[in-house]
Amino acid sequence: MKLPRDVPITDGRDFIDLNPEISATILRTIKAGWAIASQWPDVNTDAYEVVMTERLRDGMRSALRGTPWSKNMIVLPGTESRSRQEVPLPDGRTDISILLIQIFWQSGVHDPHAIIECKRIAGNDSQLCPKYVVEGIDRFRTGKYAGNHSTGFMVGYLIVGSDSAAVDGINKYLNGKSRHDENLERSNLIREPWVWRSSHPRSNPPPIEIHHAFLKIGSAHC
Amino acid sequence: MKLPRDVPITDGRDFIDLNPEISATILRTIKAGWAIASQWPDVNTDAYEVVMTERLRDGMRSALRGTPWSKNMIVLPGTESRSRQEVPLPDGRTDISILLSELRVHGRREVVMIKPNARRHWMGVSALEDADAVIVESFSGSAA
Repeated sequence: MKLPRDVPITDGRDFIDLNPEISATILRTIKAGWAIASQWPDVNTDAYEVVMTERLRDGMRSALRGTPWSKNMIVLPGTESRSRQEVPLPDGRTDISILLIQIFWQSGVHDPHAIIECKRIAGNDSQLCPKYVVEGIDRFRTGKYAGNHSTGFMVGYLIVGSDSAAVDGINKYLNGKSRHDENLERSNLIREPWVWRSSHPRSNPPPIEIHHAFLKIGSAHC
Repeated sequence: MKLPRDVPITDGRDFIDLNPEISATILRTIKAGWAIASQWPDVNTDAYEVVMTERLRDGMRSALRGTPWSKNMIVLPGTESRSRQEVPLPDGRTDISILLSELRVHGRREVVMIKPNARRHWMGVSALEDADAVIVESFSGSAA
């Protein structure tokens, strides 16, 4: 685990730089949690994001039980967040937050160490693709979420179509805004079709890397 | 800390039964945090609850630094909550939540250390750190 000692302090807060093993474990936990969540009848293509996210959180917690990570990774409820330390009132609410005991012990940071933002997505949907960017990716890009993190996570609930179609739709929107460098591409962390990655510039801290997990609805297998 | 093994399971969830010492420590942390929070000019009689609560949370976190509890007690942001496990959507929002990690329980003849699995390998340096913490706690009378 990389400690936040050799990176710039961001906005008065320690910088949380997850190493690839932790990021991969979070993604694996999402996938295993989704396999459990998918068994609920209210997890379907008509379901609201919030219902699916609550089921996913419960599933992730169940998936962790009995694993070596069960004492280290805490899957928190949705939490309020403040984009910067000097902002006195919460200006965001995260979907699923992760707290890692070892990072807490080492850094003393009480706020979540990883944020997972969840969105419904379909590649052919002219509303969901922009929403995935504007109300998802851009919350990380602007520092509203994870302003002192190196890494963010997004879950795309695939309402219709494949992960590739969803990525095409998202990239089409990004390209329309001349954000070619921010296109989603295949992950080199987990080389499986459901995982993608992207990188986004920020004004002060280094660019943020976002890992995207695209989860099929109605199937335990992504 | 009383562990939830001899109490009824509530609503499918483990029952959390804090012992008086932990409750007292939470209260002491609130008080120490408030002393810090009160220094902010926006903490005044006209302030909204939310502002005061955010300042109090920050203050509690600051107050914990350097204490034996700093590795055990996590002062979380406001969180959504579900009143029962079968309720699918959040139906509440908490102001300040506390999460407790590793614990050392002082008995008459022993100290029981409850550690996350990730720290189960008790290296020499860990032993020294734990010994220091136990000695401090023994003198101060506050188990962490």
